[in-house]
Amino acid sequence: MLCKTLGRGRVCNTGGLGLVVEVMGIVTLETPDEQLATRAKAGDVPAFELLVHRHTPGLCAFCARLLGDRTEAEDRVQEAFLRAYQNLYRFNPAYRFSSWLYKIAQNLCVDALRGKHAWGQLPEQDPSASEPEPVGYDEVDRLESAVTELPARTRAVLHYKYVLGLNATEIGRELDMTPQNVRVHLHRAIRTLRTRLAP
Amino acid sequence: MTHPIPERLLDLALGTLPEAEAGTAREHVEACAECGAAFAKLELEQGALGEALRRSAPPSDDLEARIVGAVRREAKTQRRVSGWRTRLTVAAAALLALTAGMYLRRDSSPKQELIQHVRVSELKALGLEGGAK
Repeated sequence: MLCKTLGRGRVCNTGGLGLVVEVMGIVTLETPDEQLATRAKAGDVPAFELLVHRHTPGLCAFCARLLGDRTEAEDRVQEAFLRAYQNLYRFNPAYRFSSWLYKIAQNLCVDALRGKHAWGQLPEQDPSASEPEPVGYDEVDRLESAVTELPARTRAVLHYKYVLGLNATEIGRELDMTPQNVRVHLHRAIRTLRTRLAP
Repeated sequence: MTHPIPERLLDLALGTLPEAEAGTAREHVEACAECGAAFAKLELEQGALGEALRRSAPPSDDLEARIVGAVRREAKTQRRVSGWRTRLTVAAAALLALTAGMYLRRDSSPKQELIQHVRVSELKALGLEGGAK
């Protein structure tokens, strides 16, 4: 069993059982984020450190997807966690901590992108043009690279849908868009990828 | 048999088709070989997209430690600020109490003057001003 000490807490990877979390002597199995955030709000720093441990890889992938730059993404992730810690008093545990955290990170990435005029959206497509064929499963490598050429807002929509598993309504809430607009983004993105990958 | 347009089939694969329509479309896809084959291709495409998007390099080994370090420094600063805030609040409360006390003491003299004035007026009304005759 691999254990890592984080402040007064310990995180142990038990393999099949997943993560066993020990905070201030109380051992819990996968304590909910919102409970950890509430403890952190009351001054329990190790509880927040567990949130850092839990969300760093996912948040890093999200920021890297939006920014297209791993180093800059890591800086934004660090800033996002710090801002979350400083603003914990504003966090309402009735809502999901991860949504709140991703929103902070997303805003930081958007700020960074606006400087580069890259938070755009795909241009409208000609509805009369013939429908390109769906991309095959053997095209995963080319798809991965083609996605990086899409506008950042579209990459965010795709990340929320395919990595975080959100539906159109939830994505719309995260990105201040209507579900219909999310649907349009998904359709345009898929059509663009098909066209780019067409033989 | 009316085939759903390709856009509707894509909505079905994306999960963006309203539930009422999705039921009918699903039934059609199961019954129609042509639409079933088209839908299978869309599902494969969804799988490929999911796999491509879930691929990501892990963060640097020291990132978590850097974040934890920054959070601990912030927690220390907050504790220090909070300590000073408590001391300042106590000092401000003490100053307020002192000021209020001084004001109340000063405020009592006009009250005394007023009482004196009322007493003199009462004596005048009784014709007893300047002492009892």
